Parts: sequence; structure tokens; C-alpha cells
Amino acid sequence: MSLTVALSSARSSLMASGVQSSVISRNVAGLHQDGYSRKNALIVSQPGSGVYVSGIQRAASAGLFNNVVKAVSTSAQQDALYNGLQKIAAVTIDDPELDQSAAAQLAKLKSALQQYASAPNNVTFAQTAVTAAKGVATALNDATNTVQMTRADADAEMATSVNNINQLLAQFETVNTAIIKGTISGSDVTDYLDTRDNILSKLSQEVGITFATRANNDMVVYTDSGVTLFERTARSVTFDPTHSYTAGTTGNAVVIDGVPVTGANAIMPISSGKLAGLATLRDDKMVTYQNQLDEIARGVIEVFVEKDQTGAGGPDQTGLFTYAGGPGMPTTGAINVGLAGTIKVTDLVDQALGGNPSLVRDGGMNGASYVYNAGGEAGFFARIQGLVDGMAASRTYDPAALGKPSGSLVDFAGSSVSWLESQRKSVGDEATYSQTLLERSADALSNVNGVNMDDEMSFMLQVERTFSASSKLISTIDDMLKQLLMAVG
Amino acid sequence: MATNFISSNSISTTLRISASKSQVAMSKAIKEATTGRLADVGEGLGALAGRDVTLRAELLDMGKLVDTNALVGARLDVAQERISQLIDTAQSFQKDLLAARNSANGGGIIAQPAASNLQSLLTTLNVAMDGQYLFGGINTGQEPMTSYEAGSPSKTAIDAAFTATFGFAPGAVGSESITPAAMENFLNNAFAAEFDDPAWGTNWSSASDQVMRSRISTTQTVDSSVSANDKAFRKLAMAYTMLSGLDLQSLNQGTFQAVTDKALLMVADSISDLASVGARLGTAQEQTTNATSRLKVQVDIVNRQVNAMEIVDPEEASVRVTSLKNQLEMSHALTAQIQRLSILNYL
Repeated sequence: MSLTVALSSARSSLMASGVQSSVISRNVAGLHQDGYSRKNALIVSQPGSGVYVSGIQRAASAGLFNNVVKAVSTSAQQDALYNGLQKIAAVTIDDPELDQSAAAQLAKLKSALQQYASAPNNVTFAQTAVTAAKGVATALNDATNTVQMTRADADAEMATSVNNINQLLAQFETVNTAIIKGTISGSDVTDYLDTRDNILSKLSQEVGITFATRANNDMVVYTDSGVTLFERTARSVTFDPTHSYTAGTTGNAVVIDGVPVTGANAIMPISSGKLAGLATLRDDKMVTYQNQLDEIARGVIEVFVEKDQTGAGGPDQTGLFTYAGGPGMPTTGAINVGLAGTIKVTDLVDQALGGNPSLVRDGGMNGASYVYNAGGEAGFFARIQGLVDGMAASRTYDPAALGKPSGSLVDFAGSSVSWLESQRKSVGDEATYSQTLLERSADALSNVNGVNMDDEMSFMLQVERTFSASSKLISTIDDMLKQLLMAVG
Repeated sequence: MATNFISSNSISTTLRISASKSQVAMSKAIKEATTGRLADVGEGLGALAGRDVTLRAELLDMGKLVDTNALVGARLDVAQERISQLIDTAQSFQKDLLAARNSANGGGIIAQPAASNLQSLLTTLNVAMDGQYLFGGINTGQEPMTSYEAGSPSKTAIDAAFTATFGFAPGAVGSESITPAAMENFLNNAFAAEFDDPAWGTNWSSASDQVMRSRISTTQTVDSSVSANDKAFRKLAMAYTMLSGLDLQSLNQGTFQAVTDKALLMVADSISDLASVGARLGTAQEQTTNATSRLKVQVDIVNRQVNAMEIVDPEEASVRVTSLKNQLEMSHALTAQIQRLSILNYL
């Protein structure tokens, strides 16, 4: 009988409206939730008996999501690198006006020596020169400490990052299993899918990833270099942190699924994500900068070398500047790893320790054979002038330090400043660009899968009208049935 | 649908990001407007930062050279002034000597001024500045000249040489009998040897032959002092000593005139030598002054280069602050407007 059919159609419409309004309230709840994607109730008409909800659909765009994930990785990598470089630049260079860099300290030493050369009898000038020399040694020591501390910090952050990755992969496994089960049984897995995407975008912050969906919504995740992070089960990501760093320390590699992905021996090195940025900072940039500091230290020690003055051919010995391996000279022509960390001004010129600053003028820090001022003249300027000339003279540096291959000490120290600042500038520019790219991609994705409050509200009105119309229908049909029954009865 | 759709999240995020970007840019612009320099010089210059640092090093270097040049210049001025005093004294002494040569008892007349001139020569050469003995060569820590007086090594040695030649001490009985030729022989050999090395170095002077050399610009060095061992001083000391130390009163007139002739020759010689010392110092003075003014020009140029790299136009920066302020205000106003724009207000 057709009245009963109309009644059941109206009833199915009421049911559908119920589901629709529940979907709307889910959408409203997820309005400002990151990673929430808009849900849609799929209403299908049932021939002869109204409508029914065939399923919940999720607004998503795999392509746009992929863009976001990539942008997140790149941005995280560059941020990690930039922050490290920023820290180093702030401590070792700061504003050039403040003359804090090793280059500026060297310039101060040179000018103090210049002043001393003009009046070699003046002990105050000698002390000024010694103080300036200490400034150079301290600047190099401090820079070394900061560099190594930055490496240790990066190492610790890598450990945290690896922890995060393992946790995220464990969560991923749970959610992925639920999705597979849900998909097979045909239940609503849209919220799980949101959660899984959310985990992916968190994962991409730590390490660059690619992913693919297989049958039953199963997902496999690889690093951007192709190492499997997840396939049916989470793969183990391991990292053995190193707590203290010196210039010669090589940090351990991060190993994913048995494959090293960072460091010099990486078989499949990752290229984005925070982990990649930290690894570059720890194993590459900071090592290069330390090499430059070590080359500056070698140059300084070599300029102030004391040579045997007797002609007996004694070995060259360290002079004003010495280091842990002194008084023998450091290996010439090559980077002496960690030299900048141990370079110091010899105690022999430190008045506070009973030393004599005039040794800068006279030489002889390595015994009588090394005395330059044989006549003991107060105005002996030749040694000091020689030191000033030595500081201005062009020297060669190990090209592996990536600074100028030759030039005066100040020039080389300046090229080190250039190297660091150009790294910082280019990484900074790239970070700004990838940040913008991330904002754009996230915006584009949000405009596809996000929720619009106004839209949901107007849809709500529509659902409300449908609901009241269906209710009205039911009561009308009820009236009609009643009249029919009365007519019959 | 997709092109027309915008999520509520996207609307608020866009506003939030634009406001926070404006704020970052504004704090940078404010710093630049107030300091007139780049907010982050290192990041602003990038690879040029090294050049900035080395230019600053050059500035420091040149500034210090200007300072030390002032010191060197003062040293040269004092030395120059002393040399011209010596020349003046020697010239007026020359006249007195000519007059004394032909007068009776000339020896007695000239001995007194000769002795006092010798004294003043030695004092002049012992002049010190900032604890540095200017004529000490590089041995600046020690008074270069020892005085000539009874018992001093120089006087003892000269008297001994005299005694060795003539058989008696200066002024002793028998001095009258010294012939001009014998005296000339003595003056040219045994006496002259007292003013040559090694006697000069042991008896008279502790100065070193090597003089102070100072860097006056990044490329130039000059001799910035004169050693008391210069031949001009030796000749002058020799002339004054032969007139004051040999007791000329006791000699016969012919021999006395032989001594004065020799002394006149030495004084004339030393005046011309002193003049050339003065000229040397003058050249160094001029070089120093020129170097200083050149350095000052260079400092200006390098300063300009540093400024060109680091400085931002404060006008431009403050205009930037104003426009960013407007932008930020607009973004706040828009946020408020858009937040009000909700369908809920109309339901």
C-alpha cells in the first residue's frame, strides 16, 4: 500500500538527516583541529523506499597532502640547520662592529704589536700585546667550545628525534591495522585515516618520507632515500647518542632497518627532515667550521714560531702561542684537528704568573739559543716588526678547510666569517622559502579538506528543513491513515 | 567547488601568519631605523661578511698606524730640533775659534767654550723621550754617552794616548816643545783612533749603530732615529775635545794653530755632516707626515666602504616601519571584521 511506502520513505529521510547532522557536528568539532578532514554522508536513493546512508566520505587530496609532507620535511631540515648556524654565528661573530670574531681579535693583536714595535722599550705596550694575544687564544678556545657544544646539542636532538620516530611508527602501526580491519569489514575508518595522516605529517617533521597506499587502505612508508620505515610492521630506528664532543669526535649514524642513513658512511642518506638537518650540522657544517678555526690556530702558532738563532739548527719551537702538544710545532700545511681548542698564550709572558712580557720583543721562550735580541737592547724592534710582518704576510692553508687557500691570517679568518655567514644566509633564505611553501601547501590542502563553518551551518539548515518536512509528512500520513481507519471503522 | 571553497581554518591562519610576519618585519625595521645599520649584519651580508670583517681590521690597523706615526713624528721632531741646536752652536763656535786662532793666549780663550760645548753635545745626545734615549740607536734603554771628565774612560784613554806619543801628560813641562808636525801626526792617528771604533764604543758611547726603524704605513718603513755613533757627532766631539782636553795654553803658538786648523776642519766637516743628518731626519719627518695624511684618506675611504655595506637608509627604514604599522593595523582590523562575519549572527 502506497501510504505505508510514503511513511517508510519519510522515515528513511529522518534517519538520513540524523546521520547528516551527526556528520555536521563532527565537522564543526573538527573546525580548528589540525589534520581534520571534512566528512560527508553519502546519501543514496533506494528505489521505492526513500534514501539511505551508504557511507561516510572524507574530503582529501593525496597530491596536496604529499606536497605538505614534503614541505614540512624540507622546512624542518632547514630550520634545524639554520638554528645551529645562527647560534654559532651569534657567539663567534655577532655584529662585526663588536669585534668579537677571531679575525677581529687577530687585527687587535696586530695593531697592539704595531704599537709595541714603535716603542719596544715600553712594557705597557708589551702587556697590551700579550693581552691582545690572550684575546686571540680565548676567541679560538671559546669558538671551539661553542662548535663542539652545538654538535653535542645536535646529537642529543637527534636522539630525541629518533625516539619520536619510533613512537610515531608504533602509533602508526596501531592505526594502520585498525584501518585495514575497518576497511575489510566496511566500517567508517575516516577518523582513523585522519589520524594516520596526522602521524605521517608529524613523522615527516623528523625525517623526509614517501608513502604509498595499497589494497585495503594499507600504507607503506619509506624515507626519502628509500629505506623502509613501515611495511605491515614498524621498522626499528636506532641511534647511539654521544654525550660529549671534542673536535676529533665522529658522531654515530642513525640506522633505520639496518641501513645507516646519516654520516659519511651512510648507504642511503636521508635528505630532509629535522634528522637530516641535525646530521648535516653535526657531521658537516660544524666540522668544517672547526677545521677553519684549527687552521687559524695553526697560522697563529706558525707566525709566532721561535727559530734557533745560534745557527746550530735546533728545531723550530712554539713562541708566544703554544698548545697542548707544544713546544714542538704543529704539523705544517694541514689541519691539526682540535688545535684551536688548546691554543694558549705561553705562561712565560704572563706577569701574573711571574712571566716577562718583554719576551715578545726578545724571544728566548725556548732557552738561550732562541734569543733574538742578543744585545739585550731595549729598542730591539726587529723581532716585533717581524711578527707584525708575519701576520700580514700571505700564508697557505689546507684547502679542505674551505676557506681562502692563501692570504694573511686576518684574510683567512675573514674568509671563515664569510663561509659561515653565507651558509647562514643561504640556509635562512631557503628556510624562509620552504616556510612559505609549507604555508601555501597547507593552505591549499586546508581549502580542499577543511571545514567551512558557514557552509556547515547552511547545510545544517537544509538538513533541518528536510527533517521538518519529513516529520510533517509523517504526521500528515498519520492523519490520513487515521481518517482511513475511521472511515473503515 | 574546490576553487570556490575556503576552510574557516585557512581564513584565520592566513590572517594570523600575515600579522606575525608583519611583526617580525617591523621589529627588524625598527632596529634598522634607530641604529641606521642592518638589523643582522652577518645574515644581511652573507658571503660579504668576511670582507666587512677584514675592512674593519684594516681600519684598526690604519688607525693604529696614525697613532704610532704621531709617536714617531714627535721623536723625529725632537731629534731634528736637537740637531739644529748642535749646528747653531758649532757655527758660532767656528767664529770664536777663528778669532782665537790668531790671538795671543788663544788656547786659554777657546778651551772654556770648547769644554762647555762638548758637555752640551753629550747632554744633547743623551736626550730621552718617554723613557727612550733618542740617540741610542736601538739600545734605547741606556744613556748613550758617558761624560768626558777627570777619571772618565774617554779622558783617561786620551791622556794615555797623549802620554804614549809625547812621553808626558797634556800640559806637563815640555809641552812647549811639541812641534806642529808631531802634533798633527798625533791628532791624525792616536787621537783620531779614540773617536773610531772600537775606542768610541768602549769609552764614549753605548749606542748601537743600528737605528730604530718604524713602520709608518702598511707598506713603508723609515729610520726613525739617529745613532750617537754617527760620524757627525764623532767629528764634533773630536773637535771640542782637542780644544778642551789637550791643555792648549801649554803649547807653542805654531802647534796651537796646527790644532785649531785641524779643529776648524773637523767642525766644518761635522756641520755639513750634521746638516745631512738633519736632512735625513727631515725626509723621515716628511714621509711620516705624508703617510699619516694618506692613511687618514684611506681610513675615510675604508670607512665609507664599511658604511656602504652595513648602513641602511634610516629614512627608508622608518618609512618601512610606518607602512608595516599600517599593514599590521589593517590586518588586526580585518581579523576583527572577519571574525564578526559569521552565519551564526544571522540564524
